[in-house]
Amino acid sequence: MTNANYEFAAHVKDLPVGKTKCIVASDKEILLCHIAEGFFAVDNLCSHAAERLSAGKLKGHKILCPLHGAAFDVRDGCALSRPATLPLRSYGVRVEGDDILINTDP
Amino acid sequence: MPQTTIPGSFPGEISAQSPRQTKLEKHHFTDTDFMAREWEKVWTRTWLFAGLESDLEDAGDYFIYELGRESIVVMRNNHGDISAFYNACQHRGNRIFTNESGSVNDVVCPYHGWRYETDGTLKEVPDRERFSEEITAQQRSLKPVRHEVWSGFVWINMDMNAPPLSAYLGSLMTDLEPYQFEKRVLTKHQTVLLDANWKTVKDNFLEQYHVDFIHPQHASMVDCCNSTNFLWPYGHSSTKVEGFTTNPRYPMPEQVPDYMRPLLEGLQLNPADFQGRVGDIRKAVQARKRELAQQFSCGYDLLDDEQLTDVWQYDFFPNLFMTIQAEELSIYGPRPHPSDPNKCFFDKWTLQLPSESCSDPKTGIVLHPGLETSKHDERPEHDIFDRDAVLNGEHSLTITFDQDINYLPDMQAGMHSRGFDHALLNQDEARIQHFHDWLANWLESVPEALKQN
Repeated sequence: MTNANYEFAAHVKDLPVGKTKCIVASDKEILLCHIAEGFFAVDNLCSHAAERLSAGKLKGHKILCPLHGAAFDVRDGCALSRPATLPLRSYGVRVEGDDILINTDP
Repeated sequence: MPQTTIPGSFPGEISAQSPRQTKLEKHHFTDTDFMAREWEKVWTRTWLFAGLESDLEDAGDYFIYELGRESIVVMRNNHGDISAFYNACQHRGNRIFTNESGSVNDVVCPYHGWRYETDGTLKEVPDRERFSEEITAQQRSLKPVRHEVWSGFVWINMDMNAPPLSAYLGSLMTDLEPYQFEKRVLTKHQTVLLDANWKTVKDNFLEQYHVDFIHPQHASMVDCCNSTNFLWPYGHSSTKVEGFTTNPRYPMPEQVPDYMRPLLEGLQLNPADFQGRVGDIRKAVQARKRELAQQFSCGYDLLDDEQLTDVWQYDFFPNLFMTIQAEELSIYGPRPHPSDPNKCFFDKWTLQLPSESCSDPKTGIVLHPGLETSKHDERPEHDIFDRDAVLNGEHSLTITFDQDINYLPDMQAGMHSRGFDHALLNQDEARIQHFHDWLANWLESVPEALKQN
């Protein structure tokens, strides 16, 4: 059974489409992303060389690592391009009113 | 009766006529030495379509244009302009970008971390003091490539001394401006690897002699028998095929062909009204679109009657085609393989008028069926696949292209035979002859009118 520990991450009004926010929860850095399809959350550290993805660009549903150019699908954390091969961990996201909550213990 | 072919000219009395009548010998399509000459004399000297400006929306956005062994970065720089440079770090030549597109803050070589501005200017060298000679931005910035943007399309030229794109494309540029291509949205981007020389693919799209045999479905759509071909300087050409009509080789049908029904219904023309009058449809559609021009902001008002119904195909030397209709545009063409003359990459971009400008929910009018992409939709992924994926139905570039792709490798294979020597062309294949005549000219030297003083 999956554990769930939803924590407050941001207000909806503070994160327009196309923007990201890095959250630190349970000693982990998590990247919250707002794309046209909704809110998604993945690891903030690139699975290739641990660069912070929060310094990279969000293009559509892809987050691009600023160091070596790897792309990940923020919807499920899949690695989409070189040099990354391993996926990012993906976290559940729930919206309650103006609050965005992230499951920090997926 | 054969098709009509008209030689055109560019301003300055630049003629389309070529002094030669080139024999299309099989080694032109199969030989690595011939391929090497093409690289040196054609690919590195002509203006080439590299991609869409709409893929470079924000600073740092880039795409890679790969041609032969070359890789060129096209990027929106931090000044808001477009830069193009070779994808080779000036430290030891490492290819910097290995993904075909993306977005960056700086250009960073992933090997030793040399850092460049988004316009290619050298910015930072790690441990700079360990180099015995001084490293300057003037000497060690990324090597630039000529580029221009026209109608939302980015063109590059590896010859830094080449004349501007407007000299190369001449009157074709002004002829096409009414279509306002920059307002169209990308709906598909596809690339298929083919076992065929790039010119085998080109020649296929330069003639309609094969249409009755390979594309029988066209008989109820267009009149390819009476197309008008135009020959232009430097190897370009174009053809006009009447749309909203049928192939005159077959009896005119009594009923409106099934293919045309949704087109007419969308325009709120009743197919039943054309029973026994199928030949009148083309003019009726022109009149109806003219009527709707004021109501829709789709650009019909800038087009002439023929552009409203007919299909125009342009060939831009050396390797780019555009098939243009009032609502749709296909950009396609072969890129040579890095080393094998028997292979090429065939790219196709499909663009359409955005759905917002083509339908009116209040009246129910739809200018063309299938225009469902909004200008707010995310860019489609670039699909890359091989011919087998087309043959087994996993991927399609539309039925007409799929039918061509089915046969092209067989054409390439046959040319290798001891039983084949050179091609024999008919009058309807005049554009193939024109293309190969100008290719031979380019292989000799840059055309006189394009030589810079």
